[in-house]
Amino acid sequence: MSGREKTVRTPVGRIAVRFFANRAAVVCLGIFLFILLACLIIPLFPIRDPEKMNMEALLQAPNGTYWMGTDIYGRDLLSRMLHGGRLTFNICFTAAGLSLFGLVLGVAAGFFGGRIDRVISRFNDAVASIPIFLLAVFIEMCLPAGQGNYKYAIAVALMPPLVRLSRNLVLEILDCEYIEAARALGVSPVRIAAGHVLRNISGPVIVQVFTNLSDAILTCTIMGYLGLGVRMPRVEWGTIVKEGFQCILRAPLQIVLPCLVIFVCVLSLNVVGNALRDAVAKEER
Amino acid sequence: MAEILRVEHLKKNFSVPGDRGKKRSFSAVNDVSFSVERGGCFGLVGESGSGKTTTGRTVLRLTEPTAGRIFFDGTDITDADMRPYRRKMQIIFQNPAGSLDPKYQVGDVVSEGMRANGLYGSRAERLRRAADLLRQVGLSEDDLRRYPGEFSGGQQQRIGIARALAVDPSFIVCDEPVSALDVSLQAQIINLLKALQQERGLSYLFISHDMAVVRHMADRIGVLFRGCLVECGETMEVLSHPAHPYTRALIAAIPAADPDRAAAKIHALRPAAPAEAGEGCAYAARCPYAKEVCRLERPVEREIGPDHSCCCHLFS
Amino acid sequence: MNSLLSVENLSVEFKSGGRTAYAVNDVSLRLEAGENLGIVGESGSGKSTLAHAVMRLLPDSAAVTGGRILFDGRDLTAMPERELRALCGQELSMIFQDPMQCLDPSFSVGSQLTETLRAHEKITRAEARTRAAKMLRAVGLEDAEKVMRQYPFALSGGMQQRVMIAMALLTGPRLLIADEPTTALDVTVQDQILHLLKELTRQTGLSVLFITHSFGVVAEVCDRVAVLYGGRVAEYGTVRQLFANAAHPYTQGLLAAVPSMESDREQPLSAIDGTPVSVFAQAEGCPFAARCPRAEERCRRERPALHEVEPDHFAACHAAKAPALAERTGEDHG
Repeated sequence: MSGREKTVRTPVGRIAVRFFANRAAVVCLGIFLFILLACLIIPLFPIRDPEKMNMEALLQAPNGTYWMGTDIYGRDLLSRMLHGGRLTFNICFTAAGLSLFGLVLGVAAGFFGGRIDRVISRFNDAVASIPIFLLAVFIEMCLPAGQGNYKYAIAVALMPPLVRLSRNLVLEILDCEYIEAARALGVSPVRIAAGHVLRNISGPVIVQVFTNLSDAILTCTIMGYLGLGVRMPRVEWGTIVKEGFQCILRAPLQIVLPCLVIFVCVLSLNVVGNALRDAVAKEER
Repeated sequence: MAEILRVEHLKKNFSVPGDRGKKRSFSAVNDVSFSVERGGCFGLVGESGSGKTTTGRTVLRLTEPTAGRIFFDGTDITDADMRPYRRKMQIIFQNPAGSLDPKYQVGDVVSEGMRANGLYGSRAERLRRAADLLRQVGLSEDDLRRYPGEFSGGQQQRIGIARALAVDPSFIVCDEPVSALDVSLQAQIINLLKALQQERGLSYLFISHDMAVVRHMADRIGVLFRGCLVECGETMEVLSHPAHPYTRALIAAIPAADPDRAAAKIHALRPAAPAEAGEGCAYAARCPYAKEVCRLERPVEREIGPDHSCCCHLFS
Repeated sequence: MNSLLSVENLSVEFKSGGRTAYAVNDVSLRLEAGENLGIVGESGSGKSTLAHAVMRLLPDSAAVTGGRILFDGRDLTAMPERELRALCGQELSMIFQDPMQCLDPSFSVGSQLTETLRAHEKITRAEARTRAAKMLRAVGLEDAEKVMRQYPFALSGGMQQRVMIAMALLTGPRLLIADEPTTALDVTVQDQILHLLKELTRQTGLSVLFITHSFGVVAEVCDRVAVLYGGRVAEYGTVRQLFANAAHPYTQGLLAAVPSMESDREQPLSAIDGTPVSVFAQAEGCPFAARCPRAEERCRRERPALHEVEPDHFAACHAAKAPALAERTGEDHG
């Protein structure tokens, strides 16, 4: 424990101090936030239309006018990445958010045990064995196609690990003596669940949510690449990669640059997640 | 009525995984009866696996008994709704760190029980009361806002004691309250528990594996072996005239803390025989005096002196 | 003539998160062949670190910052790793609180014992098996053949501890380091293991360095005791001297704080106030000063050196008198 850590009283404060002491994680958090905010904010301003084709400037290398160059139809890649990022993040955050339903299931399974636990665990095993790409195709068939509805498929895919993690954490905590102490004091089960259990599983669960988010970005772009993605005029990162692939020999930067952005995004999320895990783990000890 | 707690023929079976995935029933507590006097301290001694901790938890109905009856203050609480009794019966744990929620401030740890039982109107009032309790157990008011992880083992145990006292109980189960502590801190906690007992007229069920600690705390003791109460009675009577061969072995095994007596001690070199689930006395396999009848028939409890009973065929 | 083990001014520090823990500070001890030395201390006293330093089993975060450890005149701290490992298997061995720490759960007891032997000596498997069985019988496991076929987890805690002792003694070491070997055991089993160790030392001339927190255990097996507090030796002497005539207030406090089968139940125990000293702090004066009932101004300012209070009996306390002085005050009272 460093000197500064000692002066901080609250567990959350100490986790923050430890996290911010990790320089790589802070840099990664900065990079991710930069990409995220750029994608969320800049498209609100009148920048170049991502769908506007410029036949005079096809497949240009990055230059003063087109910072990331242009694609096979002469569209501005930077503008497409920004607009596409907006939709990609929208899909991923929705999917990661929806997957939090797994947390409810996991906590319920761990806390109530018995038949409820068996039903939820079997249900979870069944969900875990659904092939996610088939499910995505199915959803695209049933719901209005090409509007990013495959986010529900991603949410379903992210759920099972969260259910398992939260169930195991709850079981572990229910085994602690302080739960027994609370029961002996006559604290109600609801208060035990809210006060002791949820507070103590929050750390590892937040870490898992970060992991889920980076998984969602990868899955989302793969789906876009496979053609399950959105249709024109919507644009998202996977579609951009797919289009870049068509001109990989003539203008390799058109696929390299989008992939690099996705790579940096996922990597920084993972680094942040791991640093958070380390910071939390030290507190659990 | 002189008794605050009476336990009659308490049994607790757990189901454990057995051969080929089948469940097997394991008897942790087997037909245990004893009583705790009001203002007294009943010591329960036994080695690991003797069922002493299970007995303590079952008495508080933190685990449900398989059979038997528990009376608190003359009322049968075996099937009762425990809520009104929670504030009267409390528990102190062995592992001070594990029994305190690391995410709770000490003030909230101590006042949790007050809130659960609707004592004292406001949070401010509860915290004021918690501060009083902390001072009583040798901590200070400033500790209210600190977290359990900032304290040493002995101090954490004091917090655990303050938490139990917060609901103003009349009976406390002390489950090995000092065995996880350093030697120099054990005495502090023992003295604190004794002082609190006198000040507040508390009754204790004191569970420990350490005969000398139990001797210091308890006025009556019971010796547990594999779930059976083999000997029970007034502390000095039992310790000075131990009847059951197991009690004798336990007393003989205590390190002498005196080089001269250590040199003169007689030891049993042979390792203990493995556990055998049989019809007869649980101790028969290890007992140097075991007869044929010990392996075939379970001994019953017999009075062998004033407030001294023993469960052994040697005394039939 | 060399002492079997001689620790000279040993200091060990741990680095953790930018802070330094002073685990062992300037500790000197001697263990003569055929003697048993007990090291008594509370958690954080440095007793386990000392034992691990002798076997050079310290974690990477720890370092010996001063002093030497001589085993029969050879410096263990300066010895090349290979030479040390050979020595540690042959002449020095160690047993731990948790036997499963050194027994491999995936091999039978027999194969572990024979492999240990064959790693150090060129003998046939059959020979090794015979010797292993003999050793198991020597540690009280009569049915040695059966035990050798079993796996460690199938044995009870006491039997595991016996197997570990047998493994440690296989190569006929001259020094056994026992790190709280009975702390996790039941009283009756502890009694058997202590008796076993005592018998073995009597029969084979083995010496034991016994790390423990309990004076009762020390009284059972040891000839000499060193009491450690805050990583320093507080008192050092024969078991009899310490029990009858403890000179350091910490030793006196410890002895009085433990309830015994004879103590007066009506009186409160004489507890030592306060909490053990932090390993992160390096006090200027006596490490025990903050908890000591007899502490004076001088104790907080000046660190007492270990000095002789009677022949072969040392204490690090300003208040503990030198032998000549003690005799004189004795006469005064007489």
